[in-house]
Amino acid sequence: MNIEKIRKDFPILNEKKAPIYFDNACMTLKPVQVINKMNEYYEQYPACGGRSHHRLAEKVTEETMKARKEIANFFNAKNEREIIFTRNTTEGINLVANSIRWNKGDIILTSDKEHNSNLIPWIVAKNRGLRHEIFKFNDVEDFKKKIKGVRLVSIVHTSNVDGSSNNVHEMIKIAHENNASVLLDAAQSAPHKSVDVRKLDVDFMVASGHKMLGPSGMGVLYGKMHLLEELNQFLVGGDTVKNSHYHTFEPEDIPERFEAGLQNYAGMIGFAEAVRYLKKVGLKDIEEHELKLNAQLTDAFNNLGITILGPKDPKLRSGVVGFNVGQMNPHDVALMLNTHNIMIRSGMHCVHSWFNAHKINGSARASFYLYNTSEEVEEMIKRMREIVKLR
Amino acid sequence: MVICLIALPIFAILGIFSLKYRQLAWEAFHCLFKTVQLKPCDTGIDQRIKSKYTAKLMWWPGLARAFYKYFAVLSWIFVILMLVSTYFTGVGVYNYEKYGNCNGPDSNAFCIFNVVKPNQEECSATGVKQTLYPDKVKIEGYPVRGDPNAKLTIVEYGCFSCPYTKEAEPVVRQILQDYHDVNLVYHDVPLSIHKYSIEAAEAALCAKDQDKYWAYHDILFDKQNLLNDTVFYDFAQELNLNVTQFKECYSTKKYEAEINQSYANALDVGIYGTPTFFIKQANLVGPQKYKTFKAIIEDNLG
Repeated sequence: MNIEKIRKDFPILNEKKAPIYFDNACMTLKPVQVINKMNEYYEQYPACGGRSHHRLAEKVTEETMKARKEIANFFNAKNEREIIFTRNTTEGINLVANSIRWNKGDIILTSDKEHNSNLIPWIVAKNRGLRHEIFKFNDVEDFKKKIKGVRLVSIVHTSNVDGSSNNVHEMIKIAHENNASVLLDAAQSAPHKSVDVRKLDVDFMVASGHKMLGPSGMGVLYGKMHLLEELNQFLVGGDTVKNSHYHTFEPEDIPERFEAGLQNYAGMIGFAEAVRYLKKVGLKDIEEHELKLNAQLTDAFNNLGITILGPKDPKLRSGVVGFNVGQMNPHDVALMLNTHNIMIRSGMHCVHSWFNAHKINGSARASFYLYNTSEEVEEMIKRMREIVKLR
Repeated sequence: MVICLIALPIFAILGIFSLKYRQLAWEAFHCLFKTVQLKPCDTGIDQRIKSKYTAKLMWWPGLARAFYKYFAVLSWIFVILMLVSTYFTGVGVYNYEKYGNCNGPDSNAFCIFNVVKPNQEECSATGVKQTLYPDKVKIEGYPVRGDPNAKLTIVEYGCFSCPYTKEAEPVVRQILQDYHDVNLVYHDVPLSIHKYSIEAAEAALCAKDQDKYWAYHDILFDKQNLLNDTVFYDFAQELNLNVTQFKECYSTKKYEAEINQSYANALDVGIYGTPTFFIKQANLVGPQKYKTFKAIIEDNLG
């Protein structure tokens, strides 16, 4: 993997004062290929897709179909019609939560380290007579204990707090043995490693385009076709029906029946281009590169006495380093690094429930991606040496 | 955090011009509101200020550490300093508005509000600003305008060729018209830097011989731009003076000694520019607003 070559694809990294961007778990930078592809839509065929029958509209339909196919291939879905475009992971989860034909008393099982996107919909679901149970993150034994009678397991693949992952292979297997479906939140895993929905045998999977070089406001929901067919429609209206009368309507086919209103065509096309880019570079190489950077930062932090959240072994933490400098407020750390053009995240990372339960007042977080370099990590270490002295 | 008390006015002013600062001003206000309620600030603006400046001080680790550790104490110090300076600024503005000098009516010390004006405010006599001595002001023997027995006297040290003395004239005339308890004593300070200043002073005093001093005084200022070698006779004619008598007085420099005496007194008093006014112990240098005179006069008339 040629990092220098990759960096040339990212306009912001070629600026005079290029940022040291370590907030990739929140949002990644965009390569020129994605930007150009989106511009192509706006410049050459800025029309509606799937409706009109003129030349521009047909081009939009063709490009969005190709985009769906590209994304289906990326996740190894059996059929591109199993791919539903959403605005983001949160919308994907909400779509499932509001579309499954629930029975009163159905149980949803989540881990204790879920993003609010995969927690709040289930807390709200209690109002509809559903039950929400929690197991300890990546604790298969606890999972086994709680799985009995569960209708849906909704779990995060890789945590955005510390980069650790649930043993989803095992958990999906156990869930299926217990007749439970599984919704996988792959927002933090899909950008960094292969998420093969067929190999995992996962029932639903959600991810966000903006965390994998794609445009913001684009996400994806994968669902096995027979399960999608069983879902109620959540958002309805334009383009979700084939025909309508004053009191009835005939739903559109899958996936369009779940994609209400005029779609973000530039986003879809840009997302597919991002996926193409990632495939070209190779997810395996990206993962290896991130682990190397993680190991470099972890070593330095251990020497500086900085507390790292999650497993000690950097190989178990993907490209994420969640940390705290003693009792220092994590926002202070992030703000000070920002002064030196180093961008990290601080706070509770939308996982308030886990931080509150563990009585931790948030954390700072550096998260890497394919364009980050060892020199950038070294610069952060240099600045952290100064910050540590403030304790 | 009390630092928001400093941040609020700064960001509020900047917010007039920029949406970004408007947001910061709102955050500072919210933070201050919480602080008053003894609750922690939850907008994080105090934290951003603290972290930003700590990072800038990283070159000096000891200083950065102290700043970071004692930020709350430093905030209090800055706030107290701000409140104290705001108080004194307020007093200065009040004095400036009321007396024309931010240091108060009895002072001629440096006032920053005076120097922000682009041009010099008086015609320089000595070139150096110096202390004025109101106690050395002489009144007897100098021309008086208004009731000689008035309760209050404005003493003006002026120069007929000085544009700033001319600029002060309308206000002075208005004051005398509005306050019958106030009269004006005029001292000649003919400045050598101005052409015809001595000649004009001489001419005015010659007009005094024919009881037309103040009329001549007024015409000198009203037609200051016309001053030349012969115009003084024209003015005399215009005022129906006996021109022969006037010429005799003017050509023999009858009042040269009085003018020199007046100038000497001006130097004694410390006059460094014209016009300079004294109203009892209060002094005003340069043309002043009507309300400035009014405030001092009403203070003195009670």
